[in-house]
Amino acid sequence: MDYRPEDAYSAADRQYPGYSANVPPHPYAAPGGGPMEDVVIYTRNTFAFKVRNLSKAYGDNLVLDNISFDIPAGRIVGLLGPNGCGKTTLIKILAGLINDYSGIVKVDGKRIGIASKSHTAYLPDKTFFPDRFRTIDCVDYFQDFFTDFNREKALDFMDRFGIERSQRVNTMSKGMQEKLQLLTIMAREADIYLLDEPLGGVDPAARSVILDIIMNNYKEDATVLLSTHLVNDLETSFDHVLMLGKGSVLVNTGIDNLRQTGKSVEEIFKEVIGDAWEVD
Amino acid sequence: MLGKLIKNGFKSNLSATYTIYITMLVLSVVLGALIMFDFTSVGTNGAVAALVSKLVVSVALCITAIISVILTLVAVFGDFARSMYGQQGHLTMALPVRGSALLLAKWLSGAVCVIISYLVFYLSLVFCSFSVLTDLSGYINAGDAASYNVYAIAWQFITYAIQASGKIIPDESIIFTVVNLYAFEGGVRVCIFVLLVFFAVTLAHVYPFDKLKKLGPIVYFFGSFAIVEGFSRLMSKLINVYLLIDTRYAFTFTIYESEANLAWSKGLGAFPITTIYCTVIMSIAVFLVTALLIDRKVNVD
Repeated sequence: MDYRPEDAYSAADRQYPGYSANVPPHPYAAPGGGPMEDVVIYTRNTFAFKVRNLSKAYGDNLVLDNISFDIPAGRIVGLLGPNGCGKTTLIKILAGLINDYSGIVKVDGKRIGIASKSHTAYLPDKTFFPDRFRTIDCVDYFQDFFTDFNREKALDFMDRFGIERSQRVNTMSKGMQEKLQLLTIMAREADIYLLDEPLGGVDPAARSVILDIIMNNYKEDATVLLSTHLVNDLETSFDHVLMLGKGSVLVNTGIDNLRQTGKSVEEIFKEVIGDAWEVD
Repeated sequence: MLGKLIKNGFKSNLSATYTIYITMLVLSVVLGALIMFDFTSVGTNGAVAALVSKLVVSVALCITAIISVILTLVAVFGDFARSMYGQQGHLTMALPVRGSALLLAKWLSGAVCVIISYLVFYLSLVFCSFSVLTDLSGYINAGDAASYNVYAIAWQFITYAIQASGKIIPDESIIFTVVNLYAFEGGVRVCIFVLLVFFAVTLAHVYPFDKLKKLGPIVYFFGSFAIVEGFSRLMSKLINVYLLIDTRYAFTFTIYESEANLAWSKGLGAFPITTIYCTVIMSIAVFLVTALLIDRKVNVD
């Protein structure tokens, strides 16, 4: 379906208020704080994420402050920002784990709900399988609830990574549990992958293995939103970058636009985040 | 999808409690063997050994039965909190299902497990009391068919006591029906109890009710329990509905207490159903509110 302005958002919405008053616009960001790309050139379903005036506070702590952005579909998106900037909160909202927010959020053109969740594979930064589960129970669980789950792929992953099918989750190391979670998530043929710090707490040797699993196994044309602190390890993988700081969108642009500056993503990250580190 | 959720609900509840039920089964078998075994054939010492053994196993079975109820409650409520709003919530809440389906599955599996634990508890008490009564009634050789008459003797005492107070003992079928209705009411009460705990835990994960931290679920449970009980009592005072039961199983309703009392004095049965329908109404309301909170307001830690 072609993009129809009347179905989307108002002109005011498309002003992308990605900057809060205390964070000045950055030269690498598009005018008005939005993406570098023109919204109109995409058909409606080519947006993986459409977010308008999203705000989320924990008590008095405003984590996301009226942010708006669009992310085109089929890209590997780096979600970058300092601790406490709202990366995990944003991912949890997109995954449907946080429902108490204001604003409009659409994933793959759908409001957060059953339809969006059935096409979204979410990997949290925590271990989520029950202790009583054996590894094969984890596979069965995913097969029960996700129609896009590829059981053979998951079992193949487990064999490749030496994960015993009868081993209980509570007898596995944290690293192995994280690997098991990643395998089950990546065995889904989802349209959207939300990966929250998949490399967090993983030793450098395992990072390349995990990165390899992610980059070689997501469904073609799917969108991968990946939050990380390890900009250096991942910057060559990103097609698109979304930087958050002080509850606002600081940068939302394709990687090619950033590369035109002649700087690495990490350099730009440090430059852009700047004062936003104060959030820590 | 609901069936799969219920299956997983049962699996997680039973995985935490099955060992205690196996223990109870073993103790029951041992107690059964002790009751059936003819210890008189091994002399006086054998009879004393039988009494002591039966007492020890009976006490152990009773204690295990109490533990099983507590353990089941802890397992059901702990599993709900963990799997919905704890770390496992990152898996559960990302499933492509409605909050109402998640809640219904947890509620059904949880309530059934708690009801089963209560039933097992009462059965254990009956079994233990049978063991003790056979001893008290002097039937050391409990394999003797006469020893099974102890309950009949006990029932005779009760009927004499009732008749002595000038009342008529209703027909057995009426007593059976009324007992079943009370059991049903007990089941309904267990269901609302489980649901209220789920509601309280859910509310404790909604801003600004999350400010009470770990105290939240306790405060919200007692608060909502007081509201549900208050509603039931108020309705009972305003309009108390009785179900009248006669020997032909013809059920009629009345709102007059005098008619209910008259039924009992005539040897018929009467059962107040206000509590049941009030509890059902409140259950529906609490369920809808909780499902709405899960879909719209809850934050997973």
